Amino acid sequence: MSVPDRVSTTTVGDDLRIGAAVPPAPADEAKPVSGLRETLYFAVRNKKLIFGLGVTLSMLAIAIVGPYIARHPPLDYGGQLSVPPTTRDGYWLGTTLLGQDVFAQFVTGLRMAFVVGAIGGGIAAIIGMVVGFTAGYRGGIVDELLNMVTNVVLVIPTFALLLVIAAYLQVRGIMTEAIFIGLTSWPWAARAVRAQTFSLTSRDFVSLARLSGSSSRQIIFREIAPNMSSYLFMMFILLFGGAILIAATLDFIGLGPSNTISLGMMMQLSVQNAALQLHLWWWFLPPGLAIMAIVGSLYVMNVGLDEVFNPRLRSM
Amino acid sequence: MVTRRRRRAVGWFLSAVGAVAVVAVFGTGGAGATWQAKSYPRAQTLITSGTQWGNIAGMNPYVGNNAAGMIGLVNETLLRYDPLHNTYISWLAKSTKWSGPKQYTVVVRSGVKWSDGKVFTGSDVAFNVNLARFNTSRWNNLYQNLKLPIQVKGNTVIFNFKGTPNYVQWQNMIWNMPMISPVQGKTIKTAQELTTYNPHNPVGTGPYKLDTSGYDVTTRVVWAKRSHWWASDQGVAPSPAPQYIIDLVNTSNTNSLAAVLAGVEDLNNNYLPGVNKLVDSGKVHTFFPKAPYMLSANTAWLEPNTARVPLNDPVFRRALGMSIDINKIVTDDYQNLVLKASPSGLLPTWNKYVNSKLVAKYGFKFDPAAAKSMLLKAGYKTDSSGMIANKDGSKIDLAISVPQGWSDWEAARDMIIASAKQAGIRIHAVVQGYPTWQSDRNTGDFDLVIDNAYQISDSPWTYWNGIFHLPIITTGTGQTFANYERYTNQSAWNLTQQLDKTSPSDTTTIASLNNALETVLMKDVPMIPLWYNGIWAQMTSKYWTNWPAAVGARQYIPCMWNGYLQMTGIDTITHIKSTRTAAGG
Amino acid sequence: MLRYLLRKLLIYALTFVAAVTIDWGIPHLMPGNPVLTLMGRIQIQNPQVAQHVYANYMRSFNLDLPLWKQYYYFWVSLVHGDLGTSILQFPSPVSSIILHAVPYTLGLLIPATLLSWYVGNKLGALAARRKVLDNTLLPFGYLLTATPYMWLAILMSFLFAVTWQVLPVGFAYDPTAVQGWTWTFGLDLLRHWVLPFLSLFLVACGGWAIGMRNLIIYELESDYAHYLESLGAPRKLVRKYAFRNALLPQITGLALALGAVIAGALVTEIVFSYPGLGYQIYRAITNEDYFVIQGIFLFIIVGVLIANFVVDIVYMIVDPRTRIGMQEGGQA
Repeated sequence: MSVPDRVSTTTVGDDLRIGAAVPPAPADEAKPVSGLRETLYFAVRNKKLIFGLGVTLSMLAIAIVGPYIARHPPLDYGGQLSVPPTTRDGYWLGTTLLGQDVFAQFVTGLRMAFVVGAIGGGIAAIIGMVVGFTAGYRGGIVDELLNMVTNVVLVIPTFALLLVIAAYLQVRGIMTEAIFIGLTSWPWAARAVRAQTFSLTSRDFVSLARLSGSSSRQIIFREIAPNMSSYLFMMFILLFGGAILIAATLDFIGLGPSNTISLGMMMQLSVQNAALQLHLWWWFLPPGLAIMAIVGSLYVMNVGLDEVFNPRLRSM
Repeated sequence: MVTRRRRRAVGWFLSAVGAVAVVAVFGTGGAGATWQAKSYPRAQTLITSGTQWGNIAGMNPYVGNNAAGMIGLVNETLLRYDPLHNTYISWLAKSTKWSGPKQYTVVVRSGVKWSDGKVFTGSDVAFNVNLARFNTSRWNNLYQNLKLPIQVKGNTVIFNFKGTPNYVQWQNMIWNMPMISPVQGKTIKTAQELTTYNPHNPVGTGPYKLDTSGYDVTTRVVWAKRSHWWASDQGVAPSPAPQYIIDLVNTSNTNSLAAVLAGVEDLNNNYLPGVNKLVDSGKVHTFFPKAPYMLSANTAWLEPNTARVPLNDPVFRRALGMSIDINKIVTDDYQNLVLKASPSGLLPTWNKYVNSKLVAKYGFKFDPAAAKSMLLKAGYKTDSSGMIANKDGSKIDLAISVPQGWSDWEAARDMIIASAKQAGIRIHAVVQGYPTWQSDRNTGDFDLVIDNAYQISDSPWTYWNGIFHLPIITTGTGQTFANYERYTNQSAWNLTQQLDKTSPSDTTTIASLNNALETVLMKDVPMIPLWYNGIWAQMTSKYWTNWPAAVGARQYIPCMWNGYLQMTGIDTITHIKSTRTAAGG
Repeated sequence: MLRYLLRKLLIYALTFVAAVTIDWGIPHLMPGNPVLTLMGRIQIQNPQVAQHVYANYMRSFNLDLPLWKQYYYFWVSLVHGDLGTSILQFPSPVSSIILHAVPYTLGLLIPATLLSWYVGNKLGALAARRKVLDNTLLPFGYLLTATPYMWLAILMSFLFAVTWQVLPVGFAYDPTAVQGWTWTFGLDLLRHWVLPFLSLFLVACGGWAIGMRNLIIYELESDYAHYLESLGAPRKLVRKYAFRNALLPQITGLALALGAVIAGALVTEIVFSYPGLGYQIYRAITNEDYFVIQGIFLFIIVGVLIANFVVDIVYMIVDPRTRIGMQEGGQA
């Protein structure tokens, strides 16, 4: 019996999580692009996908609408200190120790989370794809060099870099944080894409394309990428969730944006202001639950998508 | 190949071990429970925290981060100072006096022994003062004014000065200079060595000694009570009740709060946000039972860079002061754990120097509308958004900066920005880490900062010296280490220097000099006083009682910070009593 | 095989040099002067004295030398094991700060990483086997892996330490404990270790479980698995092969995960005031104590590289394809 004809992959997970491993794209499936109707058919029947998508979309809705219905600006000191959740004055999630509206901070933080996820995850996905495709397709010296770059970025503690950057920027916004996360969380994505590209490059249709005179870029964009499209999409979702988690951690240790509030910063401020000991549970529970909800549903969605795209898994 | 049966057996064994561990861990129950054997007896141990930020650097009183409590518990001072009653307490020195216009005499108390058995004499005092000859000692400038050698006759030490003595600074030194043992200190031969000196087991005259077995630089320092202490032997102070004093390294404010609530710490000197709630519900107590809860330690100022436009205009500075709602900061940011500062900026312990008539005449109140009209009358214009602009029409957008992470200052900064807006003054926040904040402040690269550089002491001179010091730039460094607001007023500086050289018996001159300096501060507003930061002190009565209180005989400062034990911090320790009898444990 | 090993070593060495250079750059690219911070802590109000102290410190930190010389001396002192002196905790040397903190961090990291990997993989394999388990364990796994480390730490602290008070709120050992090789002290250490360990363990466990479950399902649906089944092989045998194949990516994942768990340990230590490396990094970051940051990150870089190298060797042992010199496929 021959060794299974597939390439062993690295476990792909985001920088902070090992989870929701994305198995390699089905190498012998030849129809992802044309089977759109079939994909949709299975998509609406997949419970995990529906559930994950549902939760994510509802959080997104809250994030979009929330700041408009909040009664107070998130950073305003309203004068009512440590109020538990109440219907009075629109303090639906209560106030912080210093009198700020938790609900307003919560919905603003949700918005920030989606922004960071989309931009940070997007940038990481793009860089990961560029590096991965190039390394996987070209091989040889180019591959070794890119490998080394990947390793260096992987090994450097990102906090250190962010610290230097933070010291130079007097005002740090959410975009800076998102760009930074994008620039530092791509290594595993690059590796995964590289692995897939390797296996696809050795296929016949790529050799045919080469023979017919297509340039590398054309081959990558027209032959290889479409065969991995589902895989790339799922990778983006993982990067999205990962970016949110990384941002929360950075905010928690104080390296977050300086001109707004985010979910991680809410957790940081609540811990700093003894919310635990003073039993101000409404301050630190919502942000953590929100992150769990968004990222968790993204992962569930991911597995659902995997089942949709990969018919072999549908039997489970 | 390990057989399945063997693997199963290993699995069961591991689970059994795990189960035992779990039971043991949870079974001991309670966050503060300890085992009886092999631990410091909790009922006879005073556990404190709030002083030591970061690993303990060592046992050198001349370097920051030295073990908390060392000065006061081990190395003592010649005098002590009680700021609440403004009196000096004779300690290692039986008497001190200005015995002539350029002479200061110290008579050392007899019967004081070092912990290595030697007797404490006048030559030990001379040895320690002679350490100021190194330029890394903070009293080096006073040493320059001394005639050498220092005369020692047994227990009498006579200091002769070359020029007029710096009365205020010298007096301040006498109750702050820790007496280190010459036997250990003789290794200090250069200025560099003064900063690297680190005895393994410091010898001192104080009531405690280092317990080297419990010493862990990342976590705690343990002081063990000596069998004899001169102060209790001679009836000068009661013998302290705690057998051990353990000071814990600070980790975070909230963990300190948790430790206090769990009964793990008896005395905590951290700023604990929201602690007023706990005082009101009786879980902890503070010096004052109600607002302001804490004594005042230093003044928090809004420091303007007076070298920049428009902050170089006293009218603008005054308007800025009038536009700040300090009461809101005190109630909302600090929940009344601090006091609003007097417009003179001087601490409540210096009330006798504060001239209330001058304050009423020149002090400013919160009135943003009046501030705006005052500016317009003085010739300031308004810009397109209705905010105040410079006299030449250019936009005003001041940057205010506080160290990042100091959340109470960050909230105060935001409140200042909001209330100044009402007076038309546009300010925006700039975020910097502490070192960047500090270096910008020292190099003059800022518009506004909140600062609290000058601490409680025995004379307002320390404040005036900080505010009016000239020259501004310290040669060779490119920065300033006092007068951060860069305020050049030669006559004020002359008055300050004169104050330092005024004999303490000349109270009339002292009063008039202080009045003059207060007037300059309130009229010209080089600094805007905001609030008084507290001597944060939270105490629990689980194991110790008889703590200091605002009313009664024990008006001591319950604080272990550097410089406080030699005030009345040591009295706190010598007066507390255990809540458990010795038999109960 | 030897060529594979040598090539790996070369790559690691190059990565090390690059990472260390960037790490060196951290204090030197920062604005601000660390010596000023130092002086702020000693509170010298006399400017003349300040001048001398300032010059003194500038010299002792080598800050008055040109940049390239400082870089050179950095490597020199590195070889001697001297990582510089802390600014915040002057005059403590960085190496002593690290040495005091490392046992606590390793005590958290190693059991948490290894145990969570082992238990997580086993649970994942179990879940892949039975639909019942799959439906109960799996959502739990997703929740856990989506939880930020510090939030779980906060929750656990809130429940076990503040509300129910069965475990300590933080620190490494009870303040009144006497250090020594005694059962009492050991148990005290254990009690304070439990909550931080659990916070790290649970989150990581969830991740491994899900990863393993997905990989096994994929393996079970692959050609060779169907082929074996069609030949009449028992399910257990097929599952055993599937498990082994699924293990390979998980091993590599272990190396990747190390960086993540270190970040998790950092925030967990902050919440529990556990005096490990994470806590020291946090203090150094908030106080811009550059040399400590530089030193600890160097330590982490070396640790991560070594861990990666070990994992590579383990992978080499486990995966026969690398041994016979086949192209390493997707491995890097």
